[in-house]
Amino acid sequence: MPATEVEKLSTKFGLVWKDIYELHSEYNSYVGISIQEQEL
Amino acid sequence: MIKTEIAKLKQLLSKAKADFHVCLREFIRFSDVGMARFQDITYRIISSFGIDVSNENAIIEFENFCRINCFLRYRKTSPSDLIKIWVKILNPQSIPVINVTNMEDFFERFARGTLQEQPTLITTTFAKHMIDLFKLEQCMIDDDRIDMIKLQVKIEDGTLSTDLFNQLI
Repeated sequence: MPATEVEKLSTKFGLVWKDIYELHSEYNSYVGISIQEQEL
Repeated sequence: MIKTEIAKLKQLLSKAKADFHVCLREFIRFSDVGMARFQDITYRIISSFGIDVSNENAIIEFENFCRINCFLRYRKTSPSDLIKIWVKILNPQSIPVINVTNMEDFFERFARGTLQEQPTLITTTFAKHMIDLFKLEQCMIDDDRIDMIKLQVKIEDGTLSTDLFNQLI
């Protein structure tokens, strides 16, 4: 995720960068599971 | 011929876009949003963020995902957004009048969650106190019905603080 996007979201939601990265990682993990399930 | 190919490509593109988003079904299944919550309450929460809960394929964009987590996990929602969210959670269909029994049951189940099978003294007392507060603030039509318009006004003007409802999260 680009730093500019992280900064934008961090400002928008009042979260620190770490939180945004963690949320992004969590979000991507759901996307990953979803894709895997579709492939099965 | 070309038009058909373009239509196919468009279809593929929209599918690819959807593939990189989380849809409601996966969100509820894998995230902790619905953990220990009654399903209708989970849906009310998600619906308050503008997501169509009647469609399990509804896409939850990353920004909305952040917004929901700001509310449930980080407690970082702005006061004005908190008001909008709680107004929608309490009255998702914008009904002008809600029965006290329904609202009390909603508060009780929200406070209890699914870990306890039966209502507890704490959760029933909490629910009763919330209704008493609505009565005190004259948000009632009569003893059995809540005037949801008055309630909304009291939440919006801060008479009924969102902190009261935040205890449920």
